[in-house]
Amino acid sequence: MPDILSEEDTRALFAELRAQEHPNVVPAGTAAVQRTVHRRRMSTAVGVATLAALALVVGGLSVAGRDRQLFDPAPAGSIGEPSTSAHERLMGLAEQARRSVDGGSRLPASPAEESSAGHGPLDSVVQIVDEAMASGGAPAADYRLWYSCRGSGSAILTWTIGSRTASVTMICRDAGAAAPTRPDGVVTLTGAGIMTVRIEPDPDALHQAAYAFRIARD
Amino acid sequence: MTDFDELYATNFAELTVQLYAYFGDRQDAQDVVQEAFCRAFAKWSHIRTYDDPVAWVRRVAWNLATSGWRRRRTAMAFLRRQRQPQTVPEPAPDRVALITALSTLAPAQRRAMVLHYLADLPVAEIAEREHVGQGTVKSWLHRGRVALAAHFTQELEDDRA
Repeated sequence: MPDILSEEDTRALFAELRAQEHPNVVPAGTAAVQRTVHRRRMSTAVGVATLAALALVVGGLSVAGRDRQLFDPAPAGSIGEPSTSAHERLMGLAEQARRSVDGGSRLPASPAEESSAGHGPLDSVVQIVDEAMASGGAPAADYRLWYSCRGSGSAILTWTIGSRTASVTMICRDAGAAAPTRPDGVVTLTGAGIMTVRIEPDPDALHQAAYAFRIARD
Repeated sequence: MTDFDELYATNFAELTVQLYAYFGDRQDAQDVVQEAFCRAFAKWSHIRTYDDPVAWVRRVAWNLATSGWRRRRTAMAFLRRQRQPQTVPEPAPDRVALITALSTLAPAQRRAMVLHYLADLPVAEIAEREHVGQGTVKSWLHRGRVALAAHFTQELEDDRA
């Protein structure tokens, strides 16, 4: 056998693999796709509703605690303190990050100028925020991405427009009430095509931090 | 049949074979492709307007495929619980040989081989995807073909022995 497979032989090998393997693929089907997406949407809706209900309960307890203090000199203890559940904390961090991005970024003059925005907890090794718009992806233009990360650790944000890529390491800070109201940073990119944002948290940031970003056309 | 159904029917097997060549595991490949289609369906009102929606699905599938072992294993465990067991025939020996030979290549090199020879992507597009120069991709493809030849030569010698 020669030291290198020829281009034709290589193509023939892969074509054979394709021909042999195709009949063995058993698609789960589009009905399964629809069920999965429906289930995820329901989970998100239930999650939001649960958070809203929790907020009402906590708010109610807080008011009740204050009212009781008026008549009872004994301290109300932890009643009315915000919940310390990890999920709630992460959602709070995500909201902090979003506010800082919204506060400092140049908000687009019209909705058409805003390309994409997202925020949420860093709860998986890779967050892929696949967002693109318009036929064939984003039109050729200069774009700007503002980002913030709240919590601990750091995360690598990779932003792609067509064939152009920019990457930045976000340092996730837990500034609490003193959280800055400006984005942590801004990246510019010129390009056209499908736009993706990919965020990879380090182990310290995983489940301990939240991100936000906003993209707009310059 | 909706346009999403059509896209799925036309491209699911093709994408799965590509990912199978990369993973060496058919079930993992099917799971990743199914997940990519789920993401496409969730945003279908946008994605259907693209010139080439399947390019979006392929990109997401490959992003998922290369986005970290831990995440993939977690997703696989979840998806396995969801699906019905499937029975498929054992792969033919020559198919196994190619998959085994591919598994000896470095991930980026293996991706380049699969994207070029199975997905029929041009060198320039692979270079863009991998954020490297076209020369690097050509070098990966060349070394990939050398490695495949070496693997098959070794197999031939083992068979003779």
